[in-house]
Amino acid sequence: MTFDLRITIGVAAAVLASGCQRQPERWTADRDTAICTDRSGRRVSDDQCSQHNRHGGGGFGWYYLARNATLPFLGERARGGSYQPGAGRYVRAPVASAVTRTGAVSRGGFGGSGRFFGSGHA
Amino acid sequence: MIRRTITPRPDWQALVEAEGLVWHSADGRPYWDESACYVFTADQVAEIETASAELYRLFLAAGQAVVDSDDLLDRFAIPRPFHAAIRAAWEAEPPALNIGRFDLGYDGRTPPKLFEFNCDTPTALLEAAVVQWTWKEAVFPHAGQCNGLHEALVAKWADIAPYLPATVHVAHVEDDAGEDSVTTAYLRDTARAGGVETVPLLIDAIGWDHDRRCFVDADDRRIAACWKLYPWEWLAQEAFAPMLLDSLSQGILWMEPVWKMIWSNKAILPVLWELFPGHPNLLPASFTIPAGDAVAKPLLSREGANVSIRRGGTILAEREGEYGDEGYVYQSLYPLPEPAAGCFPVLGSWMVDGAPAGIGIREDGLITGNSARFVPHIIEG
Repeated sequence: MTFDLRITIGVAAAVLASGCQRQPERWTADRDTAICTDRSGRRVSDDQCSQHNRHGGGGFGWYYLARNATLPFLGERARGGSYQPGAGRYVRAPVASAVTRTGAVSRGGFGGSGRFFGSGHA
Repeated sequence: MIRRTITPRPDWQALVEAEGLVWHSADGRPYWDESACYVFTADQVAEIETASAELYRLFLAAGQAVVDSDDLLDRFAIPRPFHAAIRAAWEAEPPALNIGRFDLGYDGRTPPKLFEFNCDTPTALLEAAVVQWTWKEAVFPHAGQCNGLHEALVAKWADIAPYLPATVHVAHVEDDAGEDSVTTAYLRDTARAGGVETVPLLIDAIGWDHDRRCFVDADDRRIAACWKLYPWEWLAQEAFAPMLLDSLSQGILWMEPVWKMIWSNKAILPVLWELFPGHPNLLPASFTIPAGDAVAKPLLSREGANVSIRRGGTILAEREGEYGDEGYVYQSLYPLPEPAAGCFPVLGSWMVDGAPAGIGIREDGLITGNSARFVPHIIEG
């Protein structure tokens, strides 16, 4: 019998490395990443920069984040980066990260009963 | 069944960590304990598997009896708003792994006896399915082992894959020891092998989108199916319980199914005994304190918490905890074998959708709790 345990081993390594596993609530850039922002510095769809940069104007511009930076949700202000790129190559953010954190979402309604559920080997 | 003392592999910690078992030790003592192993004959394993299949048959009958009775559902302390959802799921049989672990008393000579069925949030999964097999291959390559758990899980995922949405969220509590994180990661590996895409999710990151009337993950993606390592009875008591009922009524898939609130509840034990009195795989159990020696178990206890052993009117052993508000059941005392001083083994007989799938053994004192050690096993003869 052989086991393909790539997820198991990845999570276990993260637990060992950090002392505990923290699943990010947000997307984190795994490489230097460019995101598109509007004139107020809020993240918008990459399409906006692609279209307007070609024609100029619109107030949209690329904002450059280093590896490991937190990617803001659409509509949220970009922080921790720069409008001037560094020397390296920048990639686009994952499409799945281009989502809105809607104000209509409530959180924290589950999980209050047990801080550590299975750590007792039951 | 005998217990054999053996020499652990010199680098056993690194070896089991390499397979994800990062919680192999606790408080300076091994949890994964390969300084011993249990040796079964093939006949004994057959007896355990036959008893497990038989117990599953009894649970089907007991489940039906409970589903048919509001009084019993109340006795199980299941909130009234969930009764209809449980009945609907029991009838509809939504896709599920239907995984569980019978905890059994067994001495190698007399029929295995049921202690309980951990079928909502069973852990000790990775060590049973993977780590003890790899140990056996390294240490006793020519011996057998009662272990088809990994293949059974992969096969079950593949079986239900056509009925699942594109992505299944797999939720757990954030735990420093890593047991919940890694156990759910292992489950995701079995899902992937069975052709099912999954994403991880923390229980407390689950959101309710009031506009779309659906649960969402940390990135606001709609949750269409969720396998959770988190007990139903907790979900049913928390702030999102009304949304959970809404979600169930919309057909959102929650795994394991909500009817597992019945089987995983200790109140099933007296129901089983009433339906099948004298059954060789059951211990007498009741809702009232019996005359003889008994073990008192809270309806919803986990990890042995608040369990006490009563002998001759006095409490012989007791575990502290925060359970018991919903009431207790009383199960006749089973004389656990003690093959080594202070070592009392409890057999975990794994089931996947009604079929026996493997054995894992934990040793502890008289009450198996969160200080138990996992001891591997082999089959000889």
